[in-house]
Amino acid sequence: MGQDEELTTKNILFTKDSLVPTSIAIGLAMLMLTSTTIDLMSELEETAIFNSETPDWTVLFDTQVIDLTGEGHTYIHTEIWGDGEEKIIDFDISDLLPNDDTRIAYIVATIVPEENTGISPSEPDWGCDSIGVTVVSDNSTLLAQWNDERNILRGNDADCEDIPVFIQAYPNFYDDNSTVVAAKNEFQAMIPWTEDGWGLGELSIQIKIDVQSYGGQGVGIVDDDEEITIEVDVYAFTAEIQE
Amino acid sequence: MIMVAAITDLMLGMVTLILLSRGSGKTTSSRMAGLFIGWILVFKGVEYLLMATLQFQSGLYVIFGNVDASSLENTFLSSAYRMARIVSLMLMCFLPMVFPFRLLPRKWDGKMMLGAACLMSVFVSSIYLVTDFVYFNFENIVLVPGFIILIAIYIRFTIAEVKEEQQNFRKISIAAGLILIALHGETMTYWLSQVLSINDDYQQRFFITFNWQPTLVAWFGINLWLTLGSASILILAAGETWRSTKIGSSSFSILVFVILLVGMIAGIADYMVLDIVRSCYEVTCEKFPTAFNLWYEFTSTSLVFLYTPILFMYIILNYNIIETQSGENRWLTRIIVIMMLLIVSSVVLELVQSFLPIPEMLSAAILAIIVAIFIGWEEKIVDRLIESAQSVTSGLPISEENSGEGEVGTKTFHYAMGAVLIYIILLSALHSGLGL
Repeated sequence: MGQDEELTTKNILFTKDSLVPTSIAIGLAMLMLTSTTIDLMSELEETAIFNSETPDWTVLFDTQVIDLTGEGHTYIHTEIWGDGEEKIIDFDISDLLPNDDTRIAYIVATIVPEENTGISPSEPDWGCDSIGVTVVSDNSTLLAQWNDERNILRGNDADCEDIPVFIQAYPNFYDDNSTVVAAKNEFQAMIPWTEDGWGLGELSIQIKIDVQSYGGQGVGIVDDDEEITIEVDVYAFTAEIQE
Repeated sequence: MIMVAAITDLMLGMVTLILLSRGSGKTTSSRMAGLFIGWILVFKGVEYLLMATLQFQSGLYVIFGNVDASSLENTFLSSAYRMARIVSLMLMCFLPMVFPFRLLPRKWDGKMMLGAACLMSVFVSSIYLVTDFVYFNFENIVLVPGFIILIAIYIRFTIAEVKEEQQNFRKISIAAGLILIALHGETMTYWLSQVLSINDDYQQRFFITFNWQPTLVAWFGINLWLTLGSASILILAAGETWRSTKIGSSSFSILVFVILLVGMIAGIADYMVLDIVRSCYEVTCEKFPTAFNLWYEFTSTSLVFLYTPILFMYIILNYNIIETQSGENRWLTRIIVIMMLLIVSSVVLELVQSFLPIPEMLSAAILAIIVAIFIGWEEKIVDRLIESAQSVTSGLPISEENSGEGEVGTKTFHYAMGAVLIYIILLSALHSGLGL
């Protein structure tokens, strides 16, 4: 066909020269489709049989504290509070995980008053300050199980004792060494333990102190501030299927 | 990555439709091709947007039907993204009938194609919804007529160009080839695996991993999709090799050979990790090596999302489908070109950064250099694209079309496709709301 010959619907698609190569090309494509379809038929059956079984899988957990301080804690923060002072201390827990297979299980924080550390012998036990601790959960960026029964989000003390705080981060992780899951396959069994994001964000702890300034009769005013140490332990876990 | 593709598709689709609405001097054929391409991009954008939202919320595994049905949002997103995909496929089915050539009688083709695209979209998506999408992917079968048309046009005009030395015919074969890559580019990098028939092993791993039992027709639909992509790139490669030996290679030949080479390496890599693929079925699932994941991410996951928008935009500009010469449209065209170049360069940089230990400061600096170069060259690039733009039928002995004949108004097209978009969103919302 020359260029001057008008192109019509029929000769746009085929000419005498192109009909055979086009037919061969389409024929080979159909052949590929047929052979691959026959091949997948057997796999369709195999997949159906495989997916119909639901075996039990044992998931093993390895839980450890993320030690950034070298003293067995993730963070240690020490600060002085004045009498009646209220402060919020933030801890960044957004970038602590060592690898993609590790996830945060729960967070434990301990508020240690100065009187209990032996740092200040000038303050005897009967001079214990009143400490109020609250984990800020409203509008918190920390992704955690805020309504979990195990949580300890508040604490008070006036007896120079440590105040513990506990935040459950990962859903349904209760510090077990292992659990048994019924699932179609290994991947399905691991799905509950591979959710990303839990425990990440900013942990905010609000602490208010009323300093016991009066040391007693004959002692008088002993101090008007308080040094508090906050130890934060972020527990992370890895999960794997028992072979 | 999918979110980048979503934004690119949506923006390019909307700009195309705006430019088409402004243009007045375009032929009916160009305008129809532009309308189909614009709406394909919009629906692809909606599909990717919903898919990206779903993945962001629930992870990658939801794509294969493993959606947590207890969440209304998840069921809405998964239904809507699948329905958007169905509509874009229906539009893709009709595109080869208007570009490069209008093949159906012009008295009624416009109305018929628009009506059929809308009816098929509504019918297929509704049927799929009530059958819980168990036949999802079978709709790929609508791509078969377009595949045959484009292959026939490509071969016919490549042979005519070589044998009759008609250089005018080259732009037709390139147009057909580019549409083939735009429609089937996502599966072209799997060509060697498809020839070796190992893609089904990968799919089986997915099905076992995600505990999804596919129906035969759904799996056949996936296989058909992979076959059309593989056959397309092999036919294009054969055609370009033959043409290169007779006339010489061109930039289109290089594009085809690059895709062919990437597919060949991907096929070899796929074959090498076949034991790991089958481990899910035979023993317990082993993880893919990191290098394999990176290669796969780079070639078969990330870049393929950009094939369709970039090639469609090139086709729109190079084949003069939208009126780019007028002053009002020129600046919008420039924005498209800059956006395309920046998106591609930033995505490539992002991907390179994922496996090369380049500090963010350095990659940001490289991106800034690229931006500066693009801004400097942008005018030249745009001017060259616009000035060399030619209608696909210009200079060819093709009968003049009677303007107005069989014409579907631009507004009618927009209203009809807009109604389909609202329909799929409302139906998905209703479906999830009723907890079906």
